[in-house]
Amino acid sequence: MTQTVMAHSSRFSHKSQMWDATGMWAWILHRITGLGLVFYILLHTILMGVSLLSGREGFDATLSLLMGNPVFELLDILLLGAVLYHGFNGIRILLFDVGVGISVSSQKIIFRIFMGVAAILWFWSIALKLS
Amino acid sequence: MHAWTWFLQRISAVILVIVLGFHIGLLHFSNGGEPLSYSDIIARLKTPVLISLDILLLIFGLYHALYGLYSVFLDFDSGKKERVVVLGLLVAMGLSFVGFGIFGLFYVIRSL
Amino acid sequence: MPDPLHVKVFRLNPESDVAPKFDNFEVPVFDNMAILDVVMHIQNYMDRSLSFRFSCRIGMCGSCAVYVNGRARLACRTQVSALKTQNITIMPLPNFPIIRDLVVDMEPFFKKWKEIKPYYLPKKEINEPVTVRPDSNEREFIDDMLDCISCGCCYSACSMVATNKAYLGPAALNRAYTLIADKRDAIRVERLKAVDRSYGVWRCHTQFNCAEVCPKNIVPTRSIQNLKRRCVLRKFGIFK
Repeated sequence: MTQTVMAHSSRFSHKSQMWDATGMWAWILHRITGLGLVFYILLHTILMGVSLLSGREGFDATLSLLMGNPVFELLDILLLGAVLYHGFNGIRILLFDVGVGISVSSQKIIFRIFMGVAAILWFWSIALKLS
Repeated sequence: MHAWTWFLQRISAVILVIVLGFHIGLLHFSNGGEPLSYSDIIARLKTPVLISLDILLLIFGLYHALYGLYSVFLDFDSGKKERVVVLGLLVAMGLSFVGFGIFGLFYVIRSL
Repeated sequence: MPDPLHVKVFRLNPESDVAPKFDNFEVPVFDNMAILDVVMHIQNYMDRSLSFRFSCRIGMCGSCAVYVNGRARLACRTQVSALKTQNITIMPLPNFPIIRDLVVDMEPFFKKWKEIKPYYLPKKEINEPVTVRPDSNEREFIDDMLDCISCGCCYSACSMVATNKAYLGPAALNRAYTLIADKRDAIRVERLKAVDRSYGVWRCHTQFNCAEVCPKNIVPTRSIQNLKRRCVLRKFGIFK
């Protein structure tokens, strides 16, 4: 049969994803926040290290710039959001790693509860910051 | 190798949840809105607890982040050579950032 | 007379088509109509050239898996009424090479299936006819996993399968665990080593897509999590 001679690597395939599942979105956001946080941690390490090494004046100038500027304040709030999302979903994943909540329905319930707590913490922190 | 690195990722995750919690609370939220000054930092770094917190954060934070990057890379198709190169790059980055960080921390508190 | 279904069907004939396309059909509805009935109606009365697989019609053989309105499903077990819409889009399973229309090449799936040695090999020292009681925890634990009909739904739902050609996938890993969890099996450690690879268990990020689509309600995520734990314990010398 000539059909079997055709290499399947030359065949077309589609990679359509599942967009209607909680677990899918939980994972995508975990990845996006993760990549953002990697970028942040590298930047933060360099920035803080260099500022500290540049002495008292250099450090104080940098910190005043960062902590006074409203743009950076906003970025800080987004950063906190990313940390809270990644952290709480991370704890959800840790639960799966120890065998808790591994069913289609449980993992969704756990996600909702954790995101609820994360959201409360986030809004509370924003309120603290703005006051 | 993967079993170990994955397990360490989980350990670093647990450590980070605790240590980051402290770090964010202490440093980003506790100065009443005033920017932190050089003197504040030096005073805190001199306490063994706080400098240990920073070092833990540095080591485990960078491990967790760079293993995460490696994991994303492995999720896509790659050849053996590419994997070795990327792993090498990430290890080098990790060691240099941790090195730089620890150097920085100890340098500023050297003149006790 | 209820409204007809507006059905879009993926078409690709590699011998004549350069690119895939969608054909539209208006299909009359009847009570308890399944997706398999939809494609059979199209083939019988509207377009004889439509290709699709089916066999048992009762959710046992795993032949008829297709991607309908955004999810992998068994055509014979998916009621049109459950989709809650008149607009139906039918595509072949994602992540598989397409042979023609809705028919995919299952070869990559079974190649990975074979990689984990999917057959039981008894330990030489077993003489008893029954070593694991049917009502024991360990037997019941494996029970669900055995239901796999290798339909490919889980494999097509997994994002890691989509991005990484070598990833073994949920079905093969679930099968591997079914045997590794069986204390009568002689090559458990060898199987564990086969899955303890970067393209094995470590690519799973607990999305749960596989569990969402499994027509047998298997949760491959659970098997894979257990495999990860066993891999780590083996490194600590606890599971030999």
